[in-house]
Amino acid sequence: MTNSIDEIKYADCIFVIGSNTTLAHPLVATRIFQARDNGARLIVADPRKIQLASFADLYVRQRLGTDVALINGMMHVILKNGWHDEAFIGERTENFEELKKVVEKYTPEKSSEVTGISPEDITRMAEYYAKAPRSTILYAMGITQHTTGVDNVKSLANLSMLTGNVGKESTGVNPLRGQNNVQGACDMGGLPNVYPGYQAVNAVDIRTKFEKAWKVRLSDKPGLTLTDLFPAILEGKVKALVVMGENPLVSDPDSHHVEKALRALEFLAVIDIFMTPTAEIAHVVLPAASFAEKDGTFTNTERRVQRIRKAIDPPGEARQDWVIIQEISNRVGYQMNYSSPEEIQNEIASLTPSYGGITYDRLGGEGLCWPCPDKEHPGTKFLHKDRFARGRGLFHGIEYIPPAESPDDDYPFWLTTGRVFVHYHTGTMTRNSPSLDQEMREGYLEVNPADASAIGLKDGDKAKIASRRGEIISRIFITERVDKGTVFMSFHFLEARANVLTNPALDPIAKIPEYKVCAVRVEKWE
Amino acid sequence: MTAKRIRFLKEFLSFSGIEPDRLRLEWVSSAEATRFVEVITDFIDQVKELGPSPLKAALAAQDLN
Amino acid sequence: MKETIIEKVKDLFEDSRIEAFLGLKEENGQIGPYLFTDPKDLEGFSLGDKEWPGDKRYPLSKILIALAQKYPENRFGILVRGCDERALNELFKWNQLNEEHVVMVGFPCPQELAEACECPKPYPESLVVGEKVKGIKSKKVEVILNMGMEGRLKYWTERFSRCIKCYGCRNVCPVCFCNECELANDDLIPSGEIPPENPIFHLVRAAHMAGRCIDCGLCEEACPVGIPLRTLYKKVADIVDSEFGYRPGYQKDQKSPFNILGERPED
Repeated sequence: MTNSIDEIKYADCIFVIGSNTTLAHPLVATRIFQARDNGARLIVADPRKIQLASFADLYVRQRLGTDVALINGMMHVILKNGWHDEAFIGERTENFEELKKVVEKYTPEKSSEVTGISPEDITRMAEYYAKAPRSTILYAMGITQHTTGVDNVKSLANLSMLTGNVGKESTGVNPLRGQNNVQGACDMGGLPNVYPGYQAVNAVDIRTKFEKAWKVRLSDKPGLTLTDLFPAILEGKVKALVVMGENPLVSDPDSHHVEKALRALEFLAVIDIFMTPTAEIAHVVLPAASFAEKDGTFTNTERRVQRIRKAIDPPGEARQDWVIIQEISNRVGYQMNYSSPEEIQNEIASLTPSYGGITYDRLGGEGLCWPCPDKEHPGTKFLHKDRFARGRGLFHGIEYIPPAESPDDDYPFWLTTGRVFVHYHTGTMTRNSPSLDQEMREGYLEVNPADASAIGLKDGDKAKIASRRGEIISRIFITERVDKGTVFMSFHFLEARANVLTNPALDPIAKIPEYKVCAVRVEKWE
Repeated sequence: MTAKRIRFLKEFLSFSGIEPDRLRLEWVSSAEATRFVEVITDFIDQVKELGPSPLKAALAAQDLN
Repeated sequence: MKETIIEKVKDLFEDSRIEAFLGLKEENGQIGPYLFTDPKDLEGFSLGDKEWPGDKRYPLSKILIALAQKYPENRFGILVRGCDERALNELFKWNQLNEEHVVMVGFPCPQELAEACECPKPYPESLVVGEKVKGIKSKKVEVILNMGMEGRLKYWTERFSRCIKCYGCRNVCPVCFCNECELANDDLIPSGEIPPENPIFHLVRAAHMAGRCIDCGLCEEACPVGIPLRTLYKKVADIVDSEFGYRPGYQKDQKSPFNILGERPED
């Protein structure tokens, strides 16, 4: 997030797009409700009529994968009415002309044709967002899990810069990160192209710094992304894999393809706290420690580094993650001799400028938000205050590109995927919890009443759902939450694995798969 | 005690915004068929007069907002 | 105030009246429940005030139930505010705790907290320090009454629609101790959906609070979506008081009217 969670409650306008906030980020939703009780306006844009939609001053239902057209439409209206922030654009940004040129074409009428949202609503969205003193954007996977994921995020950045809603309190472009520590994992270089703190692997001075610190020769080429990995295995380029706290057999798109790749490996090791479907097919399974059984830090969605403290010992042979990594490393020939997570934290601080001032003695209470470059630095509440990381904020003129797959005669429905309120990802943890399992034991496909009656399906019936990748059987749930022509399914359940259906088409830059859009056929199953 | 509990429920419903007249307590013995019919008919009339439950409309209004 | 309490707890240990004391402790910049088994540990002892009075309160009585089940022979001291004491009084009556094994060490809430809570009795009987602070009558209940029938329905419908069924209200409640919770009974309230059936989920819980809720307000503090549960339960308590003359947690020898069958009806 560019801004911190608590700032949301002081915003004047909150624009939520592609985030089922009450369900996936309830404590962010807390601030949305507080802001709303203080009189803030709420705009919700989501193809599904989510819980938060019923609290919105304006709820719009865009067609799947049309976010760029929607945001360009809003910017068109803003420019046409002079609601943009000229001073901010002049002092803080560049390439404004290119944006103007592209946005010029996206009249509310044109945007409406693509998105299915009325021109009046697009105009109202633009007005609410641009005219409020402090407007903030909250988004999640509904924006990123597209072949145009990067375009979608850049478009939101355009919108915020156009109206000067960035670099100030209670504004910003705020991705709500999923896992409690996904921010931390990325910060620590859990990406194929960077070292900790987003330092590029192909920059010579950076590489030299890490080579010196680690006393080892390092590659100057980015590694493979997760989605590039499976084809690489099948091409014989990758022979061994260590999977840590992931369950790709259920979580990755086109499951049949993923399974084929994992089975083709010469060696597969899985590190997890439970026996996942992926662990079932591994050669070696290493039991890990849960959150309550380890020491260290988590970095949450607002870049806040917080200490976690071990409350109980890991059961049986389970060990803390850092111990497992160290043991593997020592056995494959690179000696590590860390004695505690604190020692590792000190190394992080010495090599990662944004974590430079973050040490255990400063992490009592509420923790610290990075960037925190030195021991005196109080941490950073919101980013881009006086300048952007690259200097001036760069506008991008972005054209709308349709999703990789659209419905046709063979696969006439749009399928979008997401989460339900009691389960988390592949259910490794939540389906092992009796109270959460009791709440929902099986997955279902959400179908609009009109579609259900056209297919001849009743609530609770079983349906066969097929895409070009495979087919699954699932119960259906009839609801107006989804629009006619669109069906929704969660991806938590192995027995009705939505990711058998999803399209592994990737965003060209981020390599994120298009989980949110593919085409399917729905039939009665008996 | 039952009478008190019903009075509790009526006031509780009223605080929630639901008309307390939608709840009624009567004592009818199994031998009093005529009285049973009278009570039920009267209650049906009373509910009809109150009209459809406001709850449905309130939920619909919340949903569409 | 804190020093006096610490001295009192030390005395309890020295006189062998307790084997452990359940209170709060500040550690690593956080305040949380702590079971003191050695008077020497009392250094980080806290009354639960971090940024403002009473902003770190916990259902200590609920934790005590778990401890008492595990250590049925032991005697525990426990830190109590007015509401904590009322909770314990109810738990004694419902046979969840043995009064003879519990020693309450009470302190009053500051006026500021009493007002924020609209607490009718912001001090315990087992006061070991401080003054009895004046009780406050609720204005929030009045505000809702003044909305009129239609306004009230609209208000509650909107608030209950926010519910994400996290069960925070139930799980933090010091007087929720049923082994099986009817709110999780699929036949009564369909599972798998949020918000849970509106208004049934919350009205069932509110009705269950009759004769039970001791007005500590932890439910409302725990609620992530701002449902004013405390105000709802305050009204429930008022009705129970006017109909049955019963206020949960006030009298030790009087049982909840919902726990007895009572006399024949008058009419």
